[in-house]
Amino acid sequence: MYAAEISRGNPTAFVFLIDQSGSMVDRWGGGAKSKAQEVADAINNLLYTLVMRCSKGDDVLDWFHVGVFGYGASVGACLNGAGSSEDLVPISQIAANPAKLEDRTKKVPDGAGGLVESVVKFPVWLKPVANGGTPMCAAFERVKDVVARWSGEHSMAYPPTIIHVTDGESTDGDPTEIIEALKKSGTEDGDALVFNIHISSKGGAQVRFPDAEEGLPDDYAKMLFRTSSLLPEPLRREAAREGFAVTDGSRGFAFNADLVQLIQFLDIGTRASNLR
Amino acid sequence: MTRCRGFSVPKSGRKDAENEDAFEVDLDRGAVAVADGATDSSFSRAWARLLVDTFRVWPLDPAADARALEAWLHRPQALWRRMLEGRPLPWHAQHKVARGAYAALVAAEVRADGDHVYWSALAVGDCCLFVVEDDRLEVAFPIEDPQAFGSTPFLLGTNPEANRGVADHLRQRTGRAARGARLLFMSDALAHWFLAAARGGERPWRTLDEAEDAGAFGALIGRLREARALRNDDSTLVLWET
Repeated sequence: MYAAEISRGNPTAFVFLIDQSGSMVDRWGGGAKSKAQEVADAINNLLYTLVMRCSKGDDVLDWFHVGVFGYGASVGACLNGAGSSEDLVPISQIAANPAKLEDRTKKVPDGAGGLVESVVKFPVWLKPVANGGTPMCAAFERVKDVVARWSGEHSMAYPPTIIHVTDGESTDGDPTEIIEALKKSGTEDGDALVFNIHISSKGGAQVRFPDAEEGLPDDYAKMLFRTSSLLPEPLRREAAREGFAVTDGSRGFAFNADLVQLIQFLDIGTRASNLR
Repeated sequence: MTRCRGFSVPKSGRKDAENEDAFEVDLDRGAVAVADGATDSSFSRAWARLLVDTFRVWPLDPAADARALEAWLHRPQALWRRMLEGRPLPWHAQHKVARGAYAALVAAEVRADGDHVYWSALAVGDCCLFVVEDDRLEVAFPIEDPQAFGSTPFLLGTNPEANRGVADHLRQRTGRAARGARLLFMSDALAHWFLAAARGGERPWRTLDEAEDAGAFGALIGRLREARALRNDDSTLVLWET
């Protein structure tokens, strides 16, 4: 399980599900940024990481199919351009259609051992949105349909990964059963993987890949921990190699932290250990 | 009499032009190099090619230290950057180029003298050299245990700063073999299969004897992949018979 080769002929899927409810305007952890901004940054970073893993020469190889869905005042796909449809789109279309390319100053290697400042175009796909309630159940129902359809068409694929980012307070009931059903919408290679990222207004230390709910600050965080998939063995191995203290009980859950590592951990070929 | 042949095939489902392995042989000088560009970096096919070409044209003593290796890399690094200068690239490709390309390298010099051949090899990453003598595997270099193959080795990079820790990852070895010995150079997937089979008591070099020409090599690789004995990866073999 979780061993299917990821290739253009046999891609895997990433679905991002984003809480865009009114409570997301709150500041995150007492900082200057709203939770909505924090989440938009996290999703942009995750999409960027997916594109970078697939960028090869001039092209972006379609190893991943991707969808971004939001829930708040409404539930639905929330990217402009490519990815605005209800179905997942190849990652090359995501790469070709950011909402904008921002100029950012960055220090880059000068090729002679030093660093030079350079203006780099940086993609932005998602803008912060915070509006309406938190219909988490309706959102997972929608994603379940999308994932089930995709898995039906890609039965031999590495199972879809769903990354859900929220501040945790569902307003339409407990999504646990729907999430468990969503996990069953996987492929021959395993159940779909649901990973939750909990962004809390209360702040608190970052947690990644915990193996117990003790220490999590509230019932929302605990529910999200319990509904997060156990890390499959190949991902757990990579996490351990990267220095995370993981056990058999570690789940794909993060508190006040992103999970960009989950994309780095996927084996799509040789990756230099000295590439940072 | 020295005889050498080399073959390389891309991953199944990929074109020859997408093969990121490269090899070069100079029979007169007794030089062999195999490089394997990392899937996860861009323009790594070109980087692998530059490494083996550079080894053929501008020799590097395989016994040289890490500092000499880093200095030797300046030329292919400059050539790689020049190849991309002024080339219009989409945003993601620009970002990826800034991260650099990466490749594994095994390179050796082989010299015959009387009844023996003397070889000197260096390796960074998981491209391998095997020495087979009297129908036995005598040397596995730089990886001796098939379980040591992983998907994240330290590799040679196009950015000089990426190679700063290379001293800890540079492997070097010299050896002497009787005339008639075979030196087999491979990229990682094939090396992994070869070493696992040899450690399991088989004689995989006999299987590789089938690879008389490119067609036979391609057919053999296809069969090994089909049997799931060989990971689907670019696969390269250089067979040096003394």
